[in-house]
Amino acid sequence: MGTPIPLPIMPGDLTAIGPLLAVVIAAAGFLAVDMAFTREELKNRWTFIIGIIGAALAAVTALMLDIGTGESRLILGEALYADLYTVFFDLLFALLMGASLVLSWTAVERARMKPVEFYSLAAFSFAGMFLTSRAADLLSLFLAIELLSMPLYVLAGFATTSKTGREAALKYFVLGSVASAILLFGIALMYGGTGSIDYVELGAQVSSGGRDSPLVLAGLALILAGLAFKVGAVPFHMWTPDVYEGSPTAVTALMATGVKAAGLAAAIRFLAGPMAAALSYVSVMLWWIVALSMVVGNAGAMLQSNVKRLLAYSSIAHAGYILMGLLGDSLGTAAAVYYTAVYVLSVAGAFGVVQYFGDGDRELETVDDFNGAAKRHPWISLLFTIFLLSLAGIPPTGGFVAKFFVFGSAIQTGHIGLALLGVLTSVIGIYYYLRLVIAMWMKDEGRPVLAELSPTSWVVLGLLAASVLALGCMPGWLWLIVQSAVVSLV
Amino acid sequence: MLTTAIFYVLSFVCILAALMTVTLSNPVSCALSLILCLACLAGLYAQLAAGYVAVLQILIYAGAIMVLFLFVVMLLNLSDEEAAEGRYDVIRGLKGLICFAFLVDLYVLVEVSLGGRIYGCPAPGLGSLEAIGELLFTRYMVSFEVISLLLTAAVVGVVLITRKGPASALAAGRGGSS
Amino acid sequence: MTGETLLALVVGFPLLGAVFNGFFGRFHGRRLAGYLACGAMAMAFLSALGAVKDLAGLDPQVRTIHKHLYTWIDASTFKVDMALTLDPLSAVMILVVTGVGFLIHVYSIGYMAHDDGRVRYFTYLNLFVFFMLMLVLGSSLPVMFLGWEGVGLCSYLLIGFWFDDIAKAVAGKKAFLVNRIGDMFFVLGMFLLFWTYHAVGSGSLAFADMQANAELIQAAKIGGVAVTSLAAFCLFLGATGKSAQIPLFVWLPDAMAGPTPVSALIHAATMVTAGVYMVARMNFLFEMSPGVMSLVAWVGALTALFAATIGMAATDIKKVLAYSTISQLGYMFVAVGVGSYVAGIFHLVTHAFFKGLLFLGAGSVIHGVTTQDIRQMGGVRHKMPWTFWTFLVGTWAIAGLPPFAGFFSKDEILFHAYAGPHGSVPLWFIGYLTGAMTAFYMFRLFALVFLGKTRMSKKEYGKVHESPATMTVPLAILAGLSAIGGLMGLPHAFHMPHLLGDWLAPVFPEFHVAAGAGTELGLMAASVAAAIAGSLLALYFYFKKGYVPVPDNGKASLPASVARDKFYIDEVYDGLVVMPMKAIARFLSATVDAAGVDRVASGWLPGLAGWISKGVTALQNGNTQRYAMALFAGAVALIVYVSLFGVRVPLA
Repeated sequence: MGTPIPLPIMPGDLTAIGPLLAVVIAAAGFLAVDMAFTREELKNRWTFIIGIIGAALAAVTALMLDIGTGESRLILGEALYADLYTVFFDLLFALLMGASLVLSWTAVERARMKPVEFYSLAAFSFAGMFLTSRAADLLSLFLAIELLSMPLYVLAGFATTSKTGREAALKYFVLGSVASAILLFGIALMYGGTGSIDYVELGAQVSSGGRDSPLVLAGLALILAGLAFKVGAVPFHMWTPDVYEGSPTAVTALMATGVKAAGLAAAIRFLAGPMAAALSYVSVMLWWIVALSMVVGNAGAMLQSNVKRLLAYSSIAHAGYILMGLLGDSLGTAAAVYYTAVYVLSVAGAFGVVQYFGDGDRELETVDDFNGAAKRHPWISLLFTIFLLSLAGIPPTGGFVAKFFVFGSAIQTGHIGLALLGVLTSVIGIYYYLRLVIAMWMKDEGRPVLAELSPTSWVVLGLLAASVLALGCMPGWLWLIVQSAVVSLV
Repeated sequence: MLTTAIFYVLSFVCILAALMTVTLSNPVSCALSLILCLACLAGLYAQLAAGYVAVLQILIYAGAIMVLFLFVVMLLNLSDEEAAEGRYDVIRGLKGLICFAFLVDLYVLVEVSLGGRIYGCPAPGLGSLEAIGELLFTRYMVSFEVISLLLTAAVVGVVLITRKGPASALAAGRGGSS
Repeated sequence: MTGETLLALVVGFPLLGAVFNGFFGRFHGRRLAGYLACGAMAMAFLSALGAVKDLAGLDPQVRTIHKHLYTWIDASTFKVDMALTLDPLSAVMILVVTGVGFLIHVYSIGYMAHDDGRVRYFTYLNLFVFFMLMLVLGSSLPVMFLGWEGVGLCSYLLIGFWFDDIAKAVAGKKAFLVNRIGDMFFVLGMFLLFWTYHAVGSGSLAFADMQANAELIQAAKIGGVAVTSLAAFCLFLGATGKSAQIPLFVWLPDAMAGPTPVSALIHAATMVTAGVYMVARMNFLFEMSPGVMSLVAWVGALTALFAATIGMAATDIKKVLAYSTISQLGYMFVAVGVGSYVAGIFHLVTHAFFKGLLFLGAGSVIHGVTTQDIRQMGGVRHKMPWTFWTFLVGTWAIAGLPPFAGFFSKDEILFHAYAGPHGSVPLWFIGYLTGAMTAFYMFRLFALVFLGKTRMSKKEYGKVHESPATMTVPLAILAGLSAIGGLMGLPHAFHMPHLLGDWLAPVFPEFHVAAGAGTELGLMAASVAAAIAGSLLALYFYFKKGYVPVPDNGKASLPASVARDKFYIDEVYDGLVVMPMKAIARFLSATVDAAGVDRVASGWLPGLAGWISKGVTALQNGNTQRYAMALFAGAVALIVYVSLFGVRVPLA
């Protein structure tokens, strides 16, 4: 049997995966709470406490990472990265987890789910998210994405009694499996072509041309397809409207923010990291994915009357805008990361607000349901408007700056047509986002009912809105951080 | 020579069984065809000197998973699937075309990139239990741990699904479930 | 306080007012909201005066005050400072914006006295002034764009202020959408400039940097077209949206749905002149592209003529003024188009005085009479003496009759259009003709509203009353400014100093006129004659003869007092003016607008988008197998593409 093999754990490695450990511990905590208490109030209270502690711990441990000189570090047997990029996304996901705990609570209960059950599964999904931004090889990437998706397959369907809900969950599961198969097949081809699954090794092979092989390119293409599915980009987008609409809103919010951001975190790491040399081979495909996503997403959202479907289609379009950044140089990558952050904050806020509107069990479904919201609930309508304006890309919100960065980098690298298409389609975007704003502020007849907001919810929504505005008025500081994070990718 | 012959036989049976899985109308026959397909795959793995994977393939897929399938088929008392109607010929044609394109393309890809070339034999002992075990606890430790997380998540999910969702139903059946 | 601090205060006060009213308005009540807003404006005006005084104290060569607020965007190669720059040009603008803005705020207290939405109104109004000042003072294109979008937003909110009325909400939407088209070009122009400047190593879009590096980008081309021309063209299209020029003028008449002080402030005195200001500000860019310059001049001239034609037939008091605004903006574009920026800004300022006055006067009339149809007015002079006299001053000024403000500024434009290096006789002639028409339709309006016997019922006429002092005092002040405003730009032929020209000299390239004083005096005489002729003709028809334009629905409801001979005149008038105008309008609305612009902008484009939208939704049939097929097809497409084209990409 030979000498014992030491585990590949170096000092500091555990800190580097601190956020992951925190959220896994939180997941275990949720399960323990479920078993330990019988009274619902106690369960709820402890679920909330443990969740918040978990999210806070994730954020704190993320900040504790010693990023040294800013270069990427491989940890735990070279399976994961630890660098500024992971810190950035860790903070984003930790924030998202906190926001989900505070803002989705009402929606979770409205969907007749028990918070402890919802969050114990969601915690696993968050663990997957924390992994996606760190994955340093294709196996970790695949597992991270599976870990991220698996709980959501369950969450999407298990609590709903409606037929559409179950259908959505099944659809999500079946299509997700197909996408996973495609991703896995791509990974297999890649491995077949190069004999490696490490990003660094793959990158070296691709750029040195050691093994010129169409298999590598095909693998690259299929991996791109698998990631595009998670991100919801055309033509791998078809699940989004149905699934977003059919799932409980709390789950939809997770899909629109966490899943998408995680998919993007993985895609950006994969395409702009050590594998950047490979990007030139898929850039034409990426071009088409971006163009189609912008057109289909915005056009699809244009005539939607269902708010969740509308946000689903618009999220397709945003995936397009974000991926456009990858076509540019390192500034473009930074723009994509910046856009992702702004997008996540805005959508988390928008869904946060949507979750509170509704009457008893019923949520507001159509745009017309929001008629007259501002008259009855001016403050929350104002917050909603800020999030929508940010998504529409109107100054002085972060969405405008993000679009500006992305289009700017596209123009700079010669993708003028794409930038033009982006500007044109975002005009459509303004049209449908403003429809909601108009419904709220300019129509009178409706009487939308608002669930009671706890002070914490107000604080979180307010913070989200403030950060969206701050990113629009003073984007400089985050932009610098994002740039250094992107530098650490390569 | 014999190796090549075995390879072709296994491959042929594997493909045939896979086709039968998706074309037969009786669910039990489908499941049995799948077992055959998976068994042939296990044979192919064995030929690639991946003995451990071959054994696991038989144990897990052909054994555990297919038994589960058959249980489900029997419990749900599934009858023969209705013959699909022939109305959507265009769509069907399209599906066929896509699959055909995929197969042709795959062939071209493999042919172009590997055509004629043989990448040397795997190092001796590569697929052995010892080698895999070592890799699992060194290089792929993270993946190993993540899989455990994934399984935990799956178990939690299954428990929740079987609890029948709504809180009211749960409260009523509280005593039995824990 | 230093000039820099004052400069920050100039934009700070209106913002503070807006924030205070916006957030606490519901607590401190409607009455206080108006006073707060006016106080903010008064403070802003005083700060502006102080800042300009500091500016004047500087040496003319270095006459700028720069206030860096914070760094807005810092992206290594691209940096935008949130900074304000006061130079002679923006100094003129902030005095107009805060000064006229203050008067209109005061007026609004009276005008909106009975409206429940006063808090909202004053919040928007203050916010508008803030954005307008950002637009004017912004030291770079992005900051200017921030203001540009902001004033558009406020304009939208204020046009649709009474959004209970669907027509008004629609008017707001129309204004917003048409402006967005222009804004898109503005953004494109900005991107183009950034792209070009970045290529030559200067990532800054600050005006000073762009001007300093202007020569570097002169040679840049895209597809054989000079980037400078392309960018100037895009920016100008942006200006046509904001400043209501052909082809994007359609929103302004509809924008009259907003409260009248809003029309005065936003749609006459300030926001609509933003396009002119922008062209003047970017003069270094436009100077590099003579083709675009002459396009600017010609678009301005044609808009001026076209809008004046419609103005002659309009019967809504505010619509007449709206078309006259479009027409006067056309003059300003003629001026900047021929390179006479000083004349353009001069007219901008005098126009702000007299058009603000006219709109406020119209508001006062509407306030008293409660209709906007000039056919149902008449004889108002006896009931509203203050309004009457001040309105007369405004009419006198806009008609270009000496010695009031409009005369000097308009004649300077006409002279430069005739004799300037970029000018030409046809350009001058169109302006000249428009001048005569302006005099005609303004005195027609004046006569129909104030003179003659009233056409109201006795009961209605009895209710007509003079407006309160909060409204008449601003009218009087603006009347005074309209009367003497021309003195800041006396013609060279008079051998007097052109105060405004001297003040603005450091900002603009030198402008030489070939012709001498004789030509100038000759042209002046000609246009005064035309203006007098137009005025007298209007007074003859509509005062002496007492003609009233026919009602929209034909002869049926003709008042009995309107006799046959009037009918004859009206038919001539109809044939000469209304019919061709309607024909043009019909052509424009049916062919250009409906079949062209509308079909493309509101038919084809949304149609195309809608079509794609339907297609997208139709594909989305809920069938999971179909989705899986699409997913798989996408993946197959990717690898087929790779096999066909990817293989040829050599691995480096």
